[in-house]
Amino acid sequence: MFDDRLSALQNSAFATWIQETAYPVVITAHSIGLAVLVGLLVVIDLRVLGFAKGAALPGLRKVMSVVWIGFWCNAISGAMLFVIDAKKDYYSWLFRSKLLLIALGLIMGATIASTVLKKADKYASGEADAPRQAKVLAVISLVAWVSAIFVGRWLAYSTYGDIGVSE
Amino acid sequence: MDLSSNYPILLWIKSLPPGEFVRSTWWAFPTLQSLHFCGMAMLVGIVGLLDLRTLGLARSLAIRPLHRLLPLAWVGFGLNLVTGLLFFMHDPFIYAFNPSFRWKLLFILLAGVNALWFELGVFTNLDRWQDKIETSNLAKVISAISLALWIAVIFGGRYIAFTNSAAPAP
Repeated sequence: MFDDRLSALQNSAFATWIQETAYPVVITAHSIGLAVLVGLLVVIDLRVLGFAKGAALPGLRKVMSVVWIGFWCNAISGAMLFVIDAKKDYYSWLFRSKLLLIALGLIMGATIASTVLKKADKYASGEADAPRQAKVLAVISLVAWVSAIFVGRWLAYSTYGDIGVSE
Repeated sequence: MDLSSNYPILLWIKSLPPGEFVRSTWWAFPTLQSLHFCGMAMLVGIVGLLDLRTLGLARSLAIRPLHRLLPLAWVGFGLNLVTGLLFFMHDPFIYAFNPSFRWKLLFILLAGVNALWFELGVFTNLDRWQDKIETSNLAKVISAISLALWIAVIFGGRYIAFTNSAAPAP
């Protein structure tokens, strides 16, 4: 029953349009969104870990608005990529892991943003050191994003046969 | 028609051990691609933030400390140079004549020249960049060009797969 819906989704006119027309633009948008989302979060993580001292942590808070633009760019382009391979993705442990890793990375980023980046007074000095707990979150964030990239790449190379479902 | 025999240098590059290695394992290519995306995120993330700050985002951020992250951007660049060379060696005929690949290389070169312009023409009085300054119009123009070029680089890279790679007929 649910399989029928997934099949209907990937056989829809919208899916055909993506596959035949929009696909190159969609995966390029997904890559640009990746650079924005992950690239900027990596810089925030690096500052939390002690790189680029001199740049005040609260100053990085404004960067989060651009991080979210990257996120929505990839949520939308990612949803379009899901539509054309709905059945493969849904049953793929790679796809499911990717979503979990993204959720983990976002929670780390949002937590850092709402704690150390928010305390304008406490960390006003550019030389201020982030607390140990924040550094742990930053390391988890870096590992989560690198893993999400690897899993995403491997997902692109996996076939319906690899996942064990029919198209 | 297979024209590869007309290009002995490319055939030689393809025959070298690194290319042979990438072709002979099922896991090497996706792994290298994953690393290529990680390097891209690090390089474009650091350079992109420097550009966005110069353009006026997060004015309370001092620019000079951000600029000190550039060695890490070079690490990302080095990672992508190595993985990129391995892609090329695994099958030079996918890349050598591919217009998207050639545009990508040109955009990377232009981004490098543009960054040099920033370093030599704008980022000179280092003490001035220590504070939460308003940047000059020239600095903003250079940063906008930088962002546009890196986006173009990503376009070029992704479009390699959708562009004709065939060698020109002799």
